[in-house]
Amino acid sequence: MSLETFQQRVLPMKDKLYRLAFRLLQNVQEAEDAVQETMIRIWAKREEWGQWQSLEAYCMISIKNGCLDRLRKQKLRSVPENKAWDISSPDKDPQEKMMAKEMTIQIMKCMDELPQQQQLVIQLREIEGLSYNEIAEVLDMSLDQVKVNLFRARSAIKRSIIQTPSACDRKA
Amino acid sequence: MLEKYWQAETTEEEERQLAEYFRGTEVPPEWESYRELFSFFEQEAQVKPGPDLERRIMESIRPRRHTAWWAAAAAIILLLGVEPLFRMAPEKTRVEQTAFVVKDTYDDPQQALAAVEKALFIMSKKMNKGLHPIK
Repeated sequence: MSLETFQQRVLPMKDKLYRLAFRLLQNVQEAEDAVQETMIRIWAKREEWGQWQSLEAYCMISIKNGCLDRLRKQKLRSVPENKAWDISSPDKDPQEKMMAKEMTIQIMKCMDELPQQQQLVIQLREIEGLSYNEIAEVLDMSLDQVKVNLFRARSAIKRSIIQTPSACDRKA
Repeated sequence: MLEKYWQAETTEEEERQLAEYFRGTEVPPEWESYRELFSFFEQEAQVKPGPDLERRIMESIRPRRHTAWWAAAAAIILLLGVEPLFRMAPEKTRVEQTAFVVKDTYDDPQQALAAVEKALFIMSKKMNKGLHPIK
């Protein structure tokens, strides 16, 4: 596979990969590094591209695994977490802080507090628009598990936006 | 359809319709928070990495500029390394040529003279031919 194919088919996925990486890592620099690392890995395996059923699914699986690996190492190093919904975070620029409405913060906080699998299902379904089958492939889950996780995640978010700010804490 | 959505039973198409509906302004006040939720998902889908990431990726898979510099540096080192060989090479050749000329090829002086005369004759014949104007 040529560099041109990489630029046409793989490189445009960087935004999507970045969003998934940021969902897991909650840090701009870490997420960008993870995307770069994944892209290098995919380029190194360019001779195998033809054998993969879905290049997109492979890229998503690759970034997910890369991020989970980083999280494991972070836990070992005990790096302090930097939550995206924390508007005092240095990653947020002043404009973002201005625009971060109370409800938005509430949703972000709730999403961050969801179990990891639910976070990933919500991210892939609501934000990236993947089908149930695609989510099952990326997350290595059954279709039923995808639906159960999605149901639980949506229920928790629903409670958080229609009830008191602490509603998400009482999630299923 | 909203109820189906919360039950995680909506299809992709139905979810697109819901998102489209909540993108509008005509939403009952009790659903205002849902509108914010769909708007949040839409905003999240616009999140992009820094503008520098693409360049970083391309440089890491195709370190073109760095390769060029390394190639240039390697070429200079190579030239400096082999340069003394170039300087020595003609000297060796001269020594060999001199040795060839000095060495006698004929034992009989008459034979040698005849050979020289023959060689000079051939050379002068060629020279005359070369100097002859083209007709």
